[in-house]
Parts: sequence; C-alpha cells; structure tokens
Amino acid sequence: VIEAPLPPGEAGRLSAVRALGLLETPADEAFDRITRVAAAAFDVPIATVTLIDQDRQWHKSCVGLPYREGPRAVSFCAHTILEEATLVVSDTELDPRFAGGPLVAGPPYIRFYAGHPVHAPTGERIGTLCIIDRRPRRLDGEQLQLLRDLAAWAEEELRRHAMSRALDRVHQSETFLRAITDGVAEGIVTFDEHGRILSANPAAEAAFRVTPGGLAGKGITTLVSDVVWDRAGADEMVDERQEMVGRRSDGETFPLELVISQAEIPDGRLFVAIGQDVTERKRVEAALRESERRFRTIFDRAGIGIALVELGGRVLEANAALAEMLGVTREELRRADRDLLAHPEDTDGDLALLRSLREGRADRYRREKRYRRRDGHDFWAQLTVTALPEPDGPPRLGIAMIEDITRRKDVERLKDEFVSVVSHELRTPLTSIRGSLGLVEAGVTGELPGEAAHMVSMAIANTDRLVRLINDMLDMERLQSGRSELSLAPVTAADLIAQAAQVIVAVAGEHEVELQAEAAAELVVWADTDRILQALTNLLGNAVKFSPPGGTVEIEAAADGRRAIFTVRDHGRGIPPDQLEAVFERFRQVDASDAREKGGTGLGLPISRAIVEQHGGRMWAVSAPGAGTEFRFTLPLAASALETRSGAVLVVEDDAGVGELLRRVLRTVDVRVVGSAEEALEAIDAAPPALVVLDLVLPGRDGFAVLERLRADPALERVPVVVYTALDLETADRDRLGDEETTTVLFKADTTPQDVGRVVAAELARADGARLEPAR
Amino acid sequence: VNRRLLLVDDDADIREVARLSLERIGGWAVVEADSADAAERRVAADGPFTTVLLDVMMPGADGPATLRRLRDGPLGAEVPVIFLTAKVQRGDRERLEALGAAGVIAKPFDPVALPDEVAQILGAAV
Repeated sequence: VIEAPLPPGEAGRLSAVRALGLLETPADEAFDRITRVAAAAFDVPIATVTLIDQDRQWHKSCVGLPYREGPRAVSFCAHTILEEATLVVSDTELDPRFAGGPLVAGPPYIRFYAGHPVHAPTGERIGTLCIIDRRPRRLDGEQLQLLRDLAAWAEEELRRHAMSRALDRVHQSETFLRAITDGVAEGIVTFDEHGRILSANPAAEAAFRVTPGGLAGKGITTLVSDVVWDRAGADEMVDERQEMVGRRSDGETFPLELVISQAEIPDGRLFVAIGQDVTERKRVEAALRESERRFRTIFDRAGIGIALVELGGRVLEANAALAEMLGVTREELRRADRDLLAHPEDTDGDLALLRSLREGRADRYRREKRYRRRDGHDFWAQLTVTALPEPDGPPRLGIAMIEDITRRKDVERLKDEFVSVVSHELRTPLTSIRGSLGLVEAGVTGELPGEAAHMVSMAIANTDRLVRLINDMLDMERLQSGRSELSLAPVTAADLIAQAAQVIVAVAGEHEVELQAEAAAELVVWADTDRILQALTNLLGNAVKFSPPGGTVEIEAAADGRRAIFTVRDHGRGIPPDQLEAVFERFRQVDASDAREKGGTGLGLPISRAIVEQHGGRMWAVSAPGAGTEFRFTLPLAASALETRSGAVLVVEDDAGVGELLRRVLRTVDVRVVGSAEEALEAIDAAPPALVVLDLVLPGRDGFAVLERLRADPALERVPVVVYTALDLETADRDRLGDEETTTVLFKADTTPQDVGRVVAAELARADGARLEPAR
Repeated sequence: VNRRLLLVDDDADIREVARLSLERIGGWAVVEADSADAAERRVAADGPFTTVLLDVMMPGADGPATLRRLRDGPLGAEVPVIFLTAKVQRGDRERLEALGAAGVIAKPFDPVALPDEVAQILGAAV
C-alpha cells in the first residue's frame, strides 16, 4: 500500500474542511439523497460523500458502510483529492497503491473505486464523491460525466449549507445589535443623506417623548433647535462630540450631547447619531461647582492656616491665611519642600508623625510647635494633620491646619508674670509693715501703753491675715491653672496625721481643744506631703476653731478598698444640710460673721479640696446641726513595697526634653528613661517594670512593639501602661493598645507632664491594690 | 565672738526693720548694702562677716547674681549666705538652696523670730 502524499496547501485545505462546520454532524437528507442516487445509478453497493480531515476520512453521507470514518493513511479518497481529475481504479488488486491493503484484503473488500474531488465554496478540494464495488469494473464516458455531475451536486449542497450558516450568523448579530441598541442609555438615531430618520432606539424615543416607531420618516432637524441639515456640511459634523439643544415632541428643550458617525452603504451614506440627555449631568456639575466654590471660599477665607499636604511633607495647596501667617506667597508655599519655615528647634517630630499617618497607624495628630516667618519673627502654632483616606491602599494626602496660638501663649506668660509680680510686690511692703509692728509689739521701741499695745496686736493679726490671703489666692490660682506640680511619694497616713497635729497642737491648746489621732499603721498613700499637710492642717484648724472649749477634735485614716479615707471630726455647732457644698465655694462662709470671728481667708476649703482632687481623691463634708461636722477626703493607696522596687517606672520617650520633664515629675519614684523601643525591650528583659509610660512614635520600631512584648508575656500582661502620645487615636487601631483596665491614653496636646505624674501615681496605687487584694 | 552680719536688700524700710530685729533682739552687728556693688564694697571694707542675709529680687544684679559675685570676690566660698525672698512658691526654696545658700527665709518675716531663724540656719550649716 502506498500512502497518499499531502497535497500542496494542506493547511489551508484543512481549515476549509473545518470551516464547513460539517464534521461530526448527523446525517443530512440533502447529502444522503446524492449517495442514494449514485448507488442506484451505478449499481454499486457503496457510495459516499467523504471529507478528508487531518488524519482521517469522514463520510458526510454513505450508502453501504456500517461506519462513518476510517484512517486517512489507507484511504482511496486521500489520493483523489491530489488532482482535479476523477480517480478510477478498475481493479484494486492490480494497483500497487492499494493491492493487499486492509480495505481491499478485508471488509469492505474493495475491488473497484471511482471518485471525483468535491470543492468547498471557497475552492479547496475538501473531499470526494465516490462509488465502490466488490468486483472489477470500468466506466464509460457517460458514466464519468455522471460521476462529475454528482460531485457538482454535492458542491451545490455545500454552498447551500454555507449560505444558511451565514444567514444564521447575520440573524444572530442582528439580535445582538438590537439587544444593545434597545438596552443602552444613549439614544441612537439613524438617518439618511437627506436627513430623514430611518430608525430610533427606545432610549431616543423616550428622550424625545414619542411612541415606539414614531420617529421613522421624520426629518432629523425636528429633533434639535437651530440646526439645519446640510448634506455638504455633513462631513464637518461627523465624528465630533457636540452639544445641541434637543427638542422633545411636546416642545420642551433639553441639553443634548451627541456624536454623529457615518457608514457607506450601496446606495449612498447612512448617518448614526448617538446622544444623551445631559440635563441631570449638567445639574450635578453645577451643584459640584457650587459646592466646590463654597468650600473654596471656606478654604480661602478661613482664619486659620490650611494646607493640603503630601504625607511626605510637601505642600500641594495652601490658603491665604497660612501664607500670611508665614509671610510668604501661596505660590512660594506650593513650591516649598517640607516643614516649611518651622522653627529650627522644632523641625523634628513631624516626619515621624507623618510616617505614622502614611502607614495607617493613626488618622490624625496634633502638636504645638514654633514657626518662623519669612521676616525671621517666630510664633507658636497648633498644628493638626488629618490623613485623607484612600479607597484602596494607605493614605497619601493630609489636611494640615495651623492655628496661631501666640496670643494664648502670651496670655499664659503674662499670667505667670503677674502671679510672680503680685507675690513680690505685695509681700515687700507687707514685710516692712509686719516687721515694724512686730518690733513695736516686742517693745524694741519702748514700752507701749495698754490701748496702743492692743491696737498694734490687732494690726499684726490683720497683717498676718492679709499675708495668708495673698498666699491662698496665689495657691488657688496655681491649682486652678493646673500649673501646680505635685511631687508624689508613698507616705504613711499616720505620718501625715502626726505632722498635721504637730502644726495645729499649739492653736488647739489656745482653744482648749484636745486632738485625738488614729491611723492604721500600715496605711500608705501616694501624696505630696507638703500639699496634703496644707489640706489637713486647714481642716484641723477649722475643726479646732469651731469646737467649743473643752471639746475634742478627732482625726482618723482608714482603708476603703483601694483608697484611704481621712476624717476630721469636730463636735461644734455643725453645718446645715443645704450648706454642705457651699462651704467649698470661694469666700463663702456659713455665717457672715465667721470670717472676722475666726480669722479665715474664705479660701482654705476650696484650696484643700483642689489639692485632694489634684491627687485623684475627693473631699466632702458630713454634718447635722448641733452634732458636729466631719470633713472627709480620699487618697489613692500605695503599697509600702513600692519604694524598694527597682526600676519601678520605665519611661519610653525619644524627646529628651519631655523625658526629662517626666523624670522630674516622677522624681520620687525610681524611673528609667529610654529613647527607643529597642532599648525599652532590653530594659524590660533586664528588670520587669511596675509601670510603663510609653510614647508611640519613636525612631526605629514604634511603641506598639513594646506594648506587644508586654501583652505577650503572662508575667507582664497586667503591667499598667500609660500611653503618652501626640497621635490622635480616636479611630486608629485602639484595639492594639489592649484593654482599658491596663492601658491609659493621654494626648500630649491635652495634658501636661504633671497630669502624667498624677495618672502614674493613681495607676501604680491601683496596680498595687490589685496585687495585694488576693492576700486579704 | 565676731558676730557681724551683712544685710543686702534694695528696700530701705525692710533693711531698717531687719537691722533693728537682728541688732536689738539677736545681738548682731549689722552692716547694710542696697545692691551687689555696695555689698562687694562692704565686704572689702568692713569684712570679715559671719553671714550674709541676701534679698533675691533686686534691680540690676539679683540675689543669685550677687551671690556669685561675692563668692568669686572678697567673700570667698566659706561664709554662709541666707536668702531672703518674697517669692516663695513651690520649688523656689530648693532652687535657691541648690545655688549654694545655707538657707531661705520667707518675707514677710516675724521680726521677733528672725534672729532665731538665722541662728537655726547657721547652726545647721556649721
């Protein structure tokens, strides 16, 4: 057997075979009719219409064969398609190409074969029409012609098949196009060269308010105002997006945006207008412009400086107030690099803070810093930077608000100066007055007659009262302005009571009042001894003054949970219930005669209460008329072991100035100050702290690293942490800070290091209370 | 016993009151000066002194500045100096003692008690 070679252009032929779309299709009467006629006309048992595929022959139709395909290698038809001519093999056993082959020696036992090539509509020889017999035969001229006609018939059927497939495709694509034109929001109108409308989609019909099909045949210019359709000018209108005034069937006009395109068709040109009613868009645009204008106005006219900044530090946009504040033009601001004109000593800090915004660790930060005007003049400003969230990814931009707070700072300074001047200027003349009177009374200037001596001692008593009043007023001012610093230390309640009694014992003796003190020996509180003594002596002094001669004043301290309660009790006339709060008001006395009678300043109780509140405690009065009065106050308890604990408080703060302030505020506690998270981790490993004061923004790893280290260790997870940060954590991941039981957050903008000292004292006391509790 | 005290204060009335108190009640020999310059001259002319009572708030050179000048000058490092101040707020006392003063006495002072206060500070300083 000799296998047929591949014909030239086999690749193109194969794709033509497949393009027919006939392979593997079911039997088709159109082709079966041909093979039936062939078998009958030639009186043969087998006739086929065969396609030659890559490795096989496939019979689109066959008579006399039980199968529809066989290998191409042994195929007769594979030889037929090599030439235009009919292939006739009269006796296969005499032809070396086929003799002894499987189709000859075995079923279907082919002895005779005649086939003519069949062409695709595109010309390729894609297969054959053939007849087969099991005995040798010859074909005469008429029979050969008949075989060619049958092949031509098969080709005709192929053409018909291709045509029907093409029609299907056209129909499909038309359905597809209609679905699109019916579904789109844009109006689509087709019209001819004369401006006559051929079709309009539902969107167009809706926009012009006509019934379906109601636009066909109308002039295109009826749809728009002030446009003349001019065939010669059509070219200029084509492919340009343009705005026109659309006119609906009821006469209403609307803004119409459209594009006209054209297509060449056999009898001329076709135009397609695709347009949209942009009324809504115009309205939104106008609203946006208005809103933009309003915000622009706010931005431009705002009294505080506002800038849009890249979180890398570059200024993108700045308002007039900021430019004026800094003494530069807005243009200069836009070109400026980072941290423009910040005071040379205040340039650090912002970059790290900006980084934390960029990395999404915070949404906002606030700090006070100095800026330097172009003219070299410095001013204080409060800076707030808020990150602008991005829909995807970390924020890139932020809004910086810069408020000149020079005036506020000036007022603070003036107040400080005033306080200082008052204290000096008032005390200086009082020194001479008090001194002179004291010397006269002491007899240094000679013996005084009785009445004069009385007058002088009265003058001395009132001078002393004036001095106390000045002292009290200054105290009150300092307590209220929050500039009074506490130096907290663990101290026993018994000590405090003993010292206060020591101060007051002489006065008590004068009033013939007995002092009785009682305090649990182990009671240790966190207190600024001087300040608490001031409060205690004040209460004791009052109690003594309001006690009847021969009476007693009791002073006690007892534990109450995590606090100590101090009680000063007298057995005087008492305070009416409606006056129990009033006694803590400034210059308020229960009875108008009290002030003169008892020599008070009217500030003792308000000051005492302010001092206790500064310690985190409370002060109140309990009384019943005629049954005496109790003044009570609370202080946080401290464990006595605290003093001996090493490295009790670990301060993690990279700003050396703030670190030093904290060290001073906490000076009575053992404090370690470190400047980075890495050092903090080392310090924690070296000696577990009792409490950590933590800045979140640090060089290198941030404060969260320290928090995570603490919280991950069962031995350290309950260590109180006071986060002291400039970051605004309102919405940032507060979860990472841990629960509120152990973590307290203080914002640098709102709190002073003194506040930190107070919180640290309270937290230490609380932690100690918690630690001691199970032992009780 | 040499009990000489240099009193430095710009306020003449206060100097007079303090002098009377210290001389009549305390038995001191008091020399007055109204400024740092005067104090330097007095130390040079009338020294040596047992102690110096030095006002803090003075025009020109204030108490601490005067103290430095006296220490660097004729007074030397040994003579105890006591500050007198009308500005006794928290921290002021510690700050003044840190400058090398033996003690601080607040104004207004009780003239009867002043010599005792001075004696107490000097007793502790010895």
